[in-house]
Amino acid sequence: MTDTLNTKELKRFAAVNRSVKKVDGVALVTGQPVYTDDFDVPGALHVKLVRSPHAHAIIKEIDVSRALKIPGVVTILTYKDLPRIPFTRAGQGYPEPSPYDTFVLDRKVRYVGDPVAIVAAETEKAARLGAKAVKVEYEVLDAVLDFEQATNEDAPIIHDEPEAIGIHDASKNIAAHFEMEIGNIDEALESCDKVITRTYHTKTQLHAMMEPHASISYFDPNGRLTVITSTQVPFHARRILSRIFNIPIGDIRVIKPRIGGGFGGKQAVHLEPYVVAVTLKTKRPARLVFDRSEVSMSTNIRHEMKYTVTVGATSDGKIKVIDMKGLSNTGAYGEHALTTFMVSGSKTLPIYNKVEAVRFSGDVVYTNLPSAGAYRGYGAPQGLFALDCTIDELAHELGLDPLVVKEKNSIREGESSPIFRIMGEGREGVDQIVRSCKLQECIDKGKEAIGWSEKRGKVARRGNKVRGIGCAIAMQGSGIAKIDMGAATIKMNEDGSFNLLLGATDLGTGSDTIMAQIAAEVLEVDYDKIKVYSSDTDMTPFDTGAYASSTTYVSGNAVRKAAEMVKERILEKAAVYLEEPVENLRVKNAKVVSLNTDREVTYEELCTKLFYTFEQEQIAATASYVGEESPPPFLASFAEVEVDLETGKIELVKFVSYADCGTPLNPVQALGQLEGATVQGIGWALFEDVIYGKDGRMLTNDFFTYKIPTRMDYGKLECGFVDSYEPTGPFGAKSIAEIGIDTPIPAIANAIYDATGVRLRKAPFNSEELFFEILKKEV
Amino acid sequence: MKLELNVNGKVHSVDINPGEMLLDVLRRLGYKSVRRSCDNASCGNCTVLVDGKPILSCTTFAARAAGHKIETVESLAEEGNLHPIQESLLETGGAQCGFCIPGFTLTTKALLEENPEPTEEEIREALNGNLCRCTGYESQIRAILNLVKKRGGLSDD
Amino acid sequence: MLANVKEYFKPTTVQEAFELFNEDRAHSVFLAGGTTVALMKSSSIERIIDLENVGLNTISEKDDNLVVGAMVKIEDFRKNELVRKHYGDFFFNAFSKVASWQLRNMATIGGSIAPKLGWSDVTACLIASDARLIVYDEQGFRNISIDEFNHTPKAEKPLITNVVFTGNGYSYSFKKFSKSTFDIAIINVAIGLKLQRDIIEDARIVVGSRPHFPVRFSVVEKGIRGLKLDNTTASIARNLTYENFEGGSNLLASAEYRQHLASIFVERALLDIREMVL
Repeated sequence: MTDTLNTKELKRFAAVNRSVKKVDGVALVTGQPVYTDDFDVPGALHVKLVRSPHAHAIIKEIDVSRALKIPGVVTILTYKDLPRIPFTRAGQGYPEPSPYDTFVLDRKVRYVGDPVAIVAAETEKAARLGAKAVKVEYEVLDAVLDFEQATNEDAPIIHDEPEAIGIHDASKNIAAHFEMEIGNIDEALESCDKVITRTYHTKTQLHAMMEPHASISYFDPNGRLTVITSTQVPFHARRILSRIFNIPIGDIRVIKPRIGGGFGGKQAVHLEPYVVAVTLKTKRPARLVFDRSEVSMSTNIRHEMKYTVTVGATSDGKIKVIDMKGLSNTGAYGEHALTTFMVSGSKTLPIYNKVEAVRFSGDVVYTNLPSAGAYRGYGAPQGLFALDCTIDELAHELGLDPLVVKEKNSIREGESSPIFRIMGEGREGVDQIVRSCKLQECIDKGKEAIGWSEKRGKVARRGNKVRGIGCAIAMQGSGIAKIDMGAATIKMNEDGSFNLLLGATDLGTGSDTIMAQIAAEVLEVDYDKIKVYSSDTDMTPFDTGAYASSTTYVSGNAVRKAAEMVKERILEKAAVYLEEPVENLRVKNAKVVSLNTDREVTYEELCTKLFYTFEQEQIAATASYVGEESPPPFLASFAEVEVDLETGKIELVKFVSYADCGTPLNPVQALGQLEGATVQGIGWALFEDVIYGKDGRMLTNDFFTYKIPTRMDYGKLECGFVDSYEPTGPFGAKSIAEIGIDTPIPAIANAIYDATGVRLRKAPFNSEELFFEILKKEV
Repeated sequence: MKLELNVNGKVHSVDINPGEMLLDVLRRLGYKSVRRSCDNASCGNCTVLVDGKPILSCTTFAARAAGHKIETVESLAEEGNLHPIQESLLETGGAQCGFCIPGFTLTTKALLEENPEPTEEEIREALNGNLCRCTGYESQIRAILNLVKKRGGLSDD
Repeated sequence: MLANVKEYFKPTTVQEAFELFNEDRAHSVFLAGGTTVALMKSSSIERIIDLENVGLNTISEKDDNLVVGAMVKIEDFRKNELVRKHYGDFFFNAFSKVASWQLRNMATIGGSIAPKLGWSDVTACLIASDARLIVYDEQGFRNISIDEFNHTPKAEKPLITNVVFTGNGYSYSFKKFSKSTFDIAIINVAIGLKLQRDIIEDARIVVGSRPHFPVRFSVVEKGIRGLKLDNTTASIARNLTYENFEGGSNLLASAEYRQHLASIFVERALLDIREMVL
């Protein structure tokens, strides 16, 4: 969708590209009760889940009789009490590209923490006591705790249920499989001067959002099932609930209030089925709030992935072949299994679009570990660690500057990659030309900020400490082309304000605000004249939800379209009112003015008339948008580390990230997204280790043991944007939400190599490992 | 067990379980800005001020807090006017999802009362126990630095 | 929340507190800073004995000694004028690395020692400064070393009332190695040196978070006594620490890594003191 208004040159923006304060900002800074757990629902039952202590087991007996006798316990549900309908928790477009391998409660448990019974009681204490009193007898089975053993001959089959749909090969624990090849790998390898093969392993990560998952369900006075929940995907949640409980979609309402962070960890149904099951049974409201250990162990985590990458090039650094073979760990259930795996390739390989042959293949396997799911970056960071660092290694082996090699082989404006067409998310993608790509500018700005030319190749040693620099470049996407749809409704009020009803989900990202800015830009009003209400499946039009970096581009374009339609109608009605041909009129500063005469009318006056006395009509419009393309944002990052050779401690001295996100619709908020994603990536690189016990139990399930970075844990952070404009985006915007997390791991790994000569090929990096590697080298 | 809790200058008579934490009692009393996040004294989101000092309400017994002055963020915005810390956060985008903000704001308030012109290092150290997952911290530090500069501290060099 | 607590006491003397405790040891717990007790997942605790009002929250000088009440908060202790008078910036700097500001406003000196935590930075520093504990139990008040306290059988629960700091004229250094800055130590080292010009008259070399609780490494102390404080001596200390290290592995680190780290940080702490003093 390109038209004259979407060109940068025409005018300076009045409402977008402005760092206005968030529309919900005052509520947030004054600590208003706007999160799910803040709502007091009188008479709500407290729900507590009984969980499996075993990684893999069958329930032989489950006895709730003693638990039911505990005063205050109202009902207890087990797999016997619920319809056996397979589904996927994943919040994705229907039909979901994830296997339907999950039941609300099953007779089999597949990870430590897998729910076994739902207890509902009058008080939290009674619920806890009730949960403790449920007696379960298990037949313990062998468990798969290492994803590299999942397909072994003797590995137990994790999903042997006959009802499951869409598992690639359950007998081998393979949830999904993908392969594609362009060109002829073997032939192309022959023509290379240098071929290297390396294996890189990215371990899992916890989202660690500050607000624990919470859901409340109840029947409203008219008997409609209502769910208030901390979710990124209200519309998918509604559809999934409809499926698993056999309730018509129209009889369910899902509302998302403010959420305290998600990062993909709330892009699935996690708590809703449990509270809804209780409400359906008891007809009473039900509430469930996870404690931190439940959030860590029993929602979703990141897909652990291992890639073996072969890169071939000529001696001048021209990359001719890339072959990526991967293995992904999807844990006990397969939500987001295929799609995250494909994104590892679809959002990394197109960067190096000048190759002659490229191949991407591999399996996603089940294990008896917590279920992996959506997480910011969604496979791209894992793929990029392997790809970027292998290219980095190749450059060093050729005696070339790795930044120059990455730069010279990377995609530019006006170019394309066959990957766009072949690899989408879960299915084929969409062919596209990269219309905006300021990767070069990002590289130029970033390398200056880190001092690349001055520092590169020089040994910087001070006593026991040695410094090094590394780089990484990345791309992502802006929504899933031809799949993600967002819609917006705008209606006019008689004081010249507008209600903007959006399906799009603000999880702290500020999307409500930038949508108001977009509407304000089109309608030529102050952005605070746009009153935003979002994410209520009854009141707001459809939107797939906050993921795939789709909100700015997809939902934003829908808002733009709706605003255009409203603007047109305003002009049409004003034409009649002012008795002027509509071609003479335009909107300006909350008025309709004539270009030829001095006749004008304020929005306020016009709408008041239109409500009560003149050509009465409610001016309103609903528009939908689906991306024809998914224009990638681009990022160049640079890391400077200092390693203490005597301890292996890695200090991040400076981290620089410059991004091309098209027009940042709200520069302060966009910067916040980039900085936040960067620090989250730094955490994953240097601090966030998930450790399991021998029994498969996640041991690092709280913030005492799982360390996310604090304010003193990193050095200088420099993040910024380069000037860019995406013609298909709303006022030139592309996405910014995810890309920042793609680069810290590879950039830091490359910097550690520069400093110490040690290649760390497993993330997160820890000082003990580095220490012993350094020791080995010195011997 | 019956208690009197002084919150933001108002005295509440409450009936509590002797083993209850201040966090739960405050939320029951309607002070929803005090938040539960990590359950084990590791994130700072539940921070309130007791006698002007930042402490974690999730690991403070309500009965211990009786007889002391408790302050939550509800005390800050007076008659619709934002406290300067809150205003500064709005300007720099320091509140994304907002969940960590009340704890952050109170800790900052206590810092600035003790040390009106902190260096960046001192700010980071004082706030090291207030975790945030959304912002990457920079916009929040900028908010405090701007505020300090505005008030005349921190020379421009 | 501790779900089964039925009674909350606020005694006003140490004796009263201990009596209350003795009435039902199996179900009672002393409350100092609160963080340890609040995080106990115990359903057997029914009685909380709050020590806030028993008068153990003062810092005073007695003769040439510093007497610090067990209920003094870590943050108050590190900023206290008397403490700085006796110990300079040692505790001020060392304790700035403990937990977070909020936790330092809650946790107490006595409460940091009592749970016998292996990773306690406070305990390591106190041992290095040769602080002793005044404890109270059936035998009345007694003066014991921290090491003695750490080896007290579990069934005995003497109540720490005061911490006494004697001996001046030592120079101190503290090193903490951890993954994050808001984290427990993988290893910590606290050193106190008595110097006669540049000769080491006496040394207290404490290594903690091994992960076991902090102990003095007497072999290293003896090995450097009488030597000049210089690079060579620091190197000797490093080797002695390495050879005599006793520790274990856990989630945070292996024993082998701790062994290396302990030796490195003993060396660095000694060199730090040299830089400070000479």
